[in-house]
Amino acid sequence: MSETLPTETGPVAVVIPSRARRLLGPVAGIVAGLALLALTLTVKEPLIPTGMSPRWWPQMLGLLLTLLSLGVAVKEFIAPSAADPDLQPPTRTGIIRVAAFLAIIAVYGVLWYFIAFPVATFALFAAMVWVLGERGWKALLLFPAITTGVLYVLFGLLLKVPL
Amino acid sequence: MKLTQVISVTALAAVSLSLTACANRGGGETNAESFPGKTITMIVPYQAGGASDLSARTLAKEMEDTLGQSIVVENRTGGAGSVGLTYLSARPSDGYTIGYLPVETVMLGHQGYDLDPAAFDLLGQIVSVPATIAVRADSPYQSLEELLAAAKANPGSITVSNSGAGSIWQAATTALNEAAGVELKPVPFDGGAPAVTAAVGGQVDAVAAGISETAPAAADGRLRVLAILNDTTSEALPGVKTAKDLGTDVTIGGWGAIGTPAGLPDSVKSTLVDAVKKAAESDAFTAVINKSGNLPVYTDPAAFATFYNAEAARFGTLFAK
Amino acid sequence: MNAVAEGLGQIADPFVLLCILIGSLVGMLVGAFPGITATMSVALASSFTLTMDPIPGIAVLLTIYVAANFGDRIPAILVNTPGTPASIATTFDGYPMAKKGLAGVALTTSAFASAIGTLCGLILLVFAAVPLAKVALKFGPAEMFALVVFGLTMMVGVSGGKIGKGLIAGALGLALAAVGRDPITGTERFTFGQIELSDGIPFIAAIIGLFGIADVFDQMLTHRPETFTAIKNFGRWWPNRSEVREMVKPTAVGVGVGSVVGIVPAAGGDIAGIMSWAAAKKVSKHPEKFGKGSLEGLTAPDTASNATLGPSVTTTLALGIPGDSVMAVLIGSLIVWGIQPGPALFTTRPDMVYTIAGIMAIATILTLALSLLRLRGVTKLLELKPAFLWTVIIVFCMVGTFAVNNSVFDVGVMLVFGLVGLFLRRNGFPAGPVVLGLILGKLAEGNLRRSLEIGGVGNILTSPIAMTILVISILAITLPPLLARRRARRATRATTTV
Repeated sequence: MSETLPTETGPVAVVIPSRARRLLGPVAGIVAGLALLALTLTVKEPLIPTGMSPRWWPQMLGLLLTLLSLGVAVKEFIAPSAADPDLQPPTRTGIIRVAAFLAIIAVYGVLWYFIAFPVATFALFAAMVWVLGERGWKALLLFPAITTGVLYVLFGLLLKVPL
Repeated sequence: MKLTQVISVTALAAVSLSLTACANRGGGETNAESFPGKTITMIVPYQAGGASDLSARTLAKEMEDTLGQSIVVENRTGGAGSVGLTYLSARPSDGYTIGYLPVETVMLGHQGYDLDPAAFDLLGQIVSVPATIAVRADSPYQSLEELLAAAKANPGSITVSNSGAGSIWQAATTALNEAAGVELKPVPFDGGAPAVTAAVGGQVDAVAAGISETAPAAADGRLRVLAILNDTTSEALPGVKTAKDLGTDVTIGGWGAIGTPAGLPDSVKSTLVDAVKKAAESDAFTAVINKSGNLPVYTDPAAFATFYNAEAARFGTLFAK
Repeated sequence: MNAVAEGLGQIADPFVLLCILIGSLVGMLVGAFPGITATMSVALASSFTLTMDPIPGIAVLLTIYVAANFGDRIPAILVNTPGTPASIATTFDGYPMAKKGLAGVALTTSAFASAIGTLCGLILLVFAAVPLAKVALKFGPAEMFALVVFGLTMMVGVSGGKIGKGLIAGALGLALAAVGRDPITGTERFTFGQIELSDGIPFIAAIIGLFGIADVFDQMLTHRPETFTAIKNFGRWWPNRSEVREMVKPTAVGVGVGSVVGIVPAAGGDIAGIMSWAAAKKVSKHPEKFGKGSLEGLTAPDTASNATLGPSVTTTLALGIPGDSVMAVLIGSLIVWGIQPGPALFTTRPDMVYTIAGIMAIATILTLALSLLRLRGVTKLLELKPAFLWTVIIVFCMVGTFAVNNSVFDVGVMLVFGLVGLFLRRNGFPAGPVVLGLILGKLAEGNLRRSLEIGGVGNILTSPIAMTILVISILAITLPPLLARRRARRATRATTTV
């Protein structure tokens, strides 16, 4: 991420964002705007022409997004803005945590298709708290059982959602 | 270190869960003798609380009595109904999944959605929603003739609101244009109620909408319904003639039927067809549908299939233009 | 007056009161659950209530409607996840307050603001229904477009001081709203062949992702056990006297904004909340505190989004047009019960109007009492260790989102928006404008093009309402900087003459 990433055990340092870090957002905005402009060309024109093409509105927005992002990028280049004090830098464990959660959810999504909801969800809860470093029967058995139970009763039984 | 933990957890979860995967819920071989032996699911491709949902739920309740099994209504919304219909068509055809088929079933395939009307077996039509064309109470157009004459004199100047782009009510405007050789300009809104409101509020000249939407507004004097685009007149709209009687031969409207994924075994089918017929003709069902302003119309599968295929072909030519 | 007695008399039945109690409990529960909206729960309940008599049935449905708008504030304040879209703006200041250890005051204030808002809205229903409904009828595509443009001028307000990045976020939201079938021609846009996208990006899934999930991901990313202090202290429960005085102005703003937005068909509590938050910020003496845990910033949106309920019912009953999506569901039930909403209702069944207002008033007061009781237990949620809290939020949001459309696709959208929200947050883009863009984008494009279809540019130019709102919008953008400049000039002149 950023070169000023502090060590995990060290005190929370005040982050002075590098130029690359500051420009990441606006550049992503420019990319998104240009991508939108390119994508509008794939929109089919209707056979019967109406007052305005379906491409018109997204094209306006693509242009707006690109120009606004360009403006902010230029501003960041000339006059760098100070780091947001509310924004804490990520930790390496944190990145692994998020990645692991996404992986677990992906596996869950596949499993849900094949096995009963309560079983899959119980395992999901257990896996998630395990990744977050919780051990012991309360965390790995009791907690998943209670939460899965609440969900199953509320959605499966009361709201009749096809889980 | 943490990474290995992650991998082992996911692996552990996968293994332990695939063990239970054997207790799969798919295995449902249909035994015709004992059908129905478990809960039946009815897919409704629209939101709970809407007119289609109301028809489907009321019918399901009546069918439960005949079949002696409960029917769970499941709303799968999105894509103008194509999400739910596609889902229905992909279910096993064992009679335990039935669904509400709206007129969109034969329209969506012609509008760029991947949906084939032949993907369903039909169990019978249960409801009909004739299209109507209406103007606000103080509109200068007193009759359908006057409205069409104005549209002929100034093509494209008469605006007609409808519930959305590609909706049956927009198609109704197009069909009316074709039959009368005029050019009314359809203006799609975001739903039936806003379309009617636009006509009442005078933002558009007229509205094309289902009878259940225009009849109440006509009853308390906000709208004047010029014609019903149907073969017969309706009790809900006293004194309003059909377009055919008024010299413009056009019949179009929404309908609702019950269907299953194609390939239903005959014995199961006959049980379901009987249940649908009994429910659709029950007093409880017809009372609810009448109150909602639509017409309870039962058509048996054979007669309905002819109509269904004719509709599919008709929308093919209508949308090609 | 006879109709009043008759109307209220119908509620004075123990069974009806029991229905209100049940509706209130169900409503708060489903409201508090991210994903399940008031619309969905009323729709599901309507399949049960159709077998009941009209009055108890209406009592259940309306109470769920009212109570869901209390319950949805709880997760918005405690875990930054709006329980329903109506509480989006509650997250702006409610969550920062909770983080500052003021969860107790925030919850109490929110409950009172919601109750006051609902009751004020009901007064409008009882006394001004018919004339207000006539105003609603004047809102065609041109007027709606003008109103949406006015809403878009709030973009700067919700940007939280980062105007450039806020506008980028807003443009992104508007662009995301363009996904799906074109509103006029029905042409597919940016759906990549996914039928689930043809109705547009699932809105509820997107906001849960942008707020709740993004916040949990951010916490997971930056959590440091050694510096982490759990919110164990909920602080006081009751606002002190100066805080109560502080609430007066935003309450007035909220009632005003909520009433106007509520009357307009198809505009609901989500828009009212955000607009009221931005408006209250503009008139506040301490706009710099907004978004950082301002009591005013919490009161305004909660009053406003609840003040839309009464006017929404007004539009529904007096015109037969649904004032919001819950009302669209309710109309179906009313018709089956033989109650035809429309202007005639006020002459044929005036008692019905009082019955409905009475049910909603009792429901409001009961729910207020319940929420003050229950809130104490609810804040215990925050005492969970982060590991458990994060897990609960993510999985409950996933299941809640699935339940909206029974769709796994929606869950995927929620997670993708969680990551998008995380990226935005880590790069200093505020989430508020994205949501505002998502809400208003479809309305803006649809109504603009619709009015051009109807009568070209002249359709907008000849509408006095539309032009007035557009002029106000222009002033709202240009006036504050002009005034600031003049004030600065005067200040320099004053210093030079001294």
